[in-house]
Amino acid sequence: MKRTDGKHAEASGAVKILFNMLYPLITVGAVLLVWYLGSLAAHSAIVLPAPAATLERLLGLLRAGEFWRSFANTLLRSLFSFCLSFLLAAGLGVSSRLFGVFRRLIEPLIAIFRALPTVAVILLLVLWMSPGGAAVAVALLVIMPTLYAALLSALDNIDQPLFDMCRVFGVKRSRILGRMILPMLLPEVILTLASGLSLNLKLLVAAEVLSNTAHSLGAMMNAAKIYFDTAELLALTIVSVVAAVLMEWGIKTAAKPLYRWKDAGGRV
Amino acid sequence: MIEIKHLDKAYGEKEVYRDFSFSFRENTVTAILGESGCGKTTLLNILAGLTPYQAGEVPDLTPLSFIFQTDRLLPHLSVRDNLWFVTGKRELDDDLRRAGLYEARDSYIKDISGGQRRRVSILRAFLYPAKTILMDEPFLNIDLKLKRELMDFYLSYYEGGKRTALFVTHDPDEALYLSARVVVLKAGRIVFDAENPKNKPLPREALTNALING
Amino acid sequence: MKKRLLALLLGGVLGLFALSGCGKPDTVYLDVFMPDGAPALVMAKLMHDENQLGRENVRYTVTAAGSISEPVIQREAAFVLMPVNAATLVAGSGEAYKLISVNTHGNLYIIGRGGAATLESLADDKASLAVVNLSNVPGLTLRHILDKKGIAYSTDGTAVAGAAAYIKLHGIDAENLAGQLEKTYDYVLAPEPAATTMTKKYGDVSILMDIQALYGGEYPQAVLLARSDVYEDAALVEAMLSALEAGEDAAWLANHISDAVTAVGAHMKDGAKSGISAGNMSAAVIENCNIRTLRTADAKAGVLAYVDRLIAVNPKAAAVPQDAFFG
Repeated sequence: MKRTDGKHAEASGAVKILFNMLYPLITVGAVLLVWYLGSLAAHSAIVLPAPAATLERLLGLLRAGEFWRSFANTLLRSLFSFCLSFLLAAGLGVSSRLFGVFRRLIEPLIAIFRALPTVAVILLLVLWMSPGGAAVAVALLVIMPTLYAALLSALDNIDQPLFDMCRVFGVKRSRILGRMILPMLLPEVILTLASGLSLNLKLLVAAEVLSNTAHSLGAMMNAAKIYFDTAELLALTIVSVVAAVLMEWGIKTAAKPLYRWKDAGGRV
Repeated sequence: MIEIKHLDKAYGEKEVYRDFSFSFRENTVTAILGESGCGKTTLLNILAGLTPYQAGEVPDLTPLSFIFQTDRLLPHLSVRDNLWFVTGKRELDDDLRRAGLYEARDSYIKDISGGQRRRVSILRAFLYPAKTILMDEPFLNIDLKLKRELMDFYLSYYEGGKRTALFVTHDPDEALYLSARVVVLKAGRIVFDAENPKNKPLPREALTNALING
Repeated sequence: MKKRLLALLLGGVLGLFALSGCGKPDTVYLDVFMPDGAPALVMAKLMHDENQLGRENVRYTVTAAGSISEPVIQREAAFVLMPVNAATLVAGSGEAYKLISVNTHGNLYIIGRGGAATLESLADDKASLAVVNLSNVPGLTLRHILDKKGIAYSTDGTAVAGAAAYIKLHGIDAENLAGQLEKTYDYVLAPEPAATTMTKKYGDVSILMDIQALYGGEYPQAVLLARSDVYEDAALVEAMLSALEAGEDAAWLANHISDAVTAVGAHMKDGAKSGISAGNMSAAVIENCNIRTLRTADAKAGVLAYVDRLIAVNPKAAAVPQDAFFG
């Protein structure tokens, strides 16, 4: 028979949290170990620098003003291109939901965008646009189809019967849009937002590298590559990864109250 | 009298109604009894303006209230907000209490029982200001005990106001319990039509007979 | 059943391991690498003769300019000709490779439209100057010159705040040099032979400035490294250096332009196309490429001084080489 006094209950709560943190810690630890061993085997700071050297670089970066300036630029560009993609995807998605003909017309277009080889597109865009513009355009071309598909499926999932119910009861269009469609889309939108933003950042940095956009994370990575500073390159990569992960996690956590109403199946 | 005249309705090749005419009285509950697939849902949907039809005169019954076969409640709103969504009213405490939904008023739809959801659906239809209520198998797949409870609940609301109700079901007992007139529909035609007054209710066999043989 | 499957799997894996051990080894080559462009001309005669340096397995490969560091990092190259700053970054410790000579001494020119110009006049006009390879030797050398002259400049093509006169530098790739001249830039800093090729292509473009003169003389641009184990073989190193000194006889290159071009083209990595062609070569161009073998003993001081200047412009662009670096 289990004891159920308060003390016991308190302990399990803390232990649970500890265990939750343990798994990612173990993984990270394993990665660091393999990295360290690899750096010893590689025997060259250019091929694979030691974790310690990279960490030192990372701290150096965090102290440099130029880094924060570039990082901010990259983030802003990422947010900007994402918002554009989102608005476009939303517009296309709603139109497709409402007009079957429209949906059939743009399906092949979306499929083409999805199939475009990213790097080739970046290289082409750099020829036609400024580096910063190319970076934004790439993110748009690649992210928009993904967002479109996700939003459309969320829209499709709002049952026709619910719309019928609204019609019978004469519910105003504005209320249907504002208090039914939008809130029901929200969980899907947020999940898409979270993963889309992080993917967008990845793409943007890649585009920045290839187009050598001035004052950007990509440009810093490029410079590190040119001067064989692998430790700096790795440090910048880590920054990129952490930023993407934090964005995704941050959005999902902050928006949790907005999809409380979903079943256990809707849990993120 | 509310009248439907010479209704033609087909889904592609499949003909559901051909020159179908039917009338029902205001301020009464009329039950349409029939097996599944005989077109009763289609009739209600046509009356509600949800389904188009090929020919005929169909009265415009708006404002119209509807109790659907499925709940059709908004999952992201609480019980109270679901009622607000359709009626625009927020002061619903008395009605909620009457429906036995007061404790559940702030719960999400996923967190309340099937019977409670039905009640919300029914309450919603009754709170909506409309003279006419259409009900499409509102007690389908509900177990007997709960069904009785819900039917009583429905009656308690109905008797409170004077409304016209058209009520579709495949269960003769429901038809007998709730309605003042029973009509049996088979393959798009009325095969039985009789009053069901309280003091002299129709015999059940008459209905089942009509259903099977009519 | 499970046991059998496991045994089969293990057997397969072990078999693979065994097989990998008895693969037929490839012939061990002595690989000589160099980047496309003027440096390739340094070894043109050696390639033309397929000079085996007294051995039997010497192989010459010309890589794309941007990939010259790979064989060094992988320690694939026995000998490698590469830009001096990259050499200090990847081999400056002297552990894996050692410097045995400096082979080109400056081939940068500013070409452009509009008649005579100086850096000062460009600055007064707030002109845009495109630089092929802004991040490395060309850009760094130019920046050193500008710093020495006290001329303000930007490196991203934007204006310099608060300066009355400045030059807007902008990095471009060698590949789209022609396109840039055509559409965007009136002034470009380019290496030979590209510089002369552009003047031939566009009638209104001419060579306006000699970077070497502006620098104040020569500078060690491309250097020859030998891998440590190769360096131990003094006879081999001597064979290489002598062959180079013989082959650079200005007469040979000038009188055998087509042979030189063919030799370079034939040794391009993976059959790529060289930037050097018969059309853009001439005696004058070859002279401008400033090819001459200078052995370490004579070159060391110059290399150290030049590297210091590069580091002054951008501390990340080069590293001070250790003593062990100098063979």
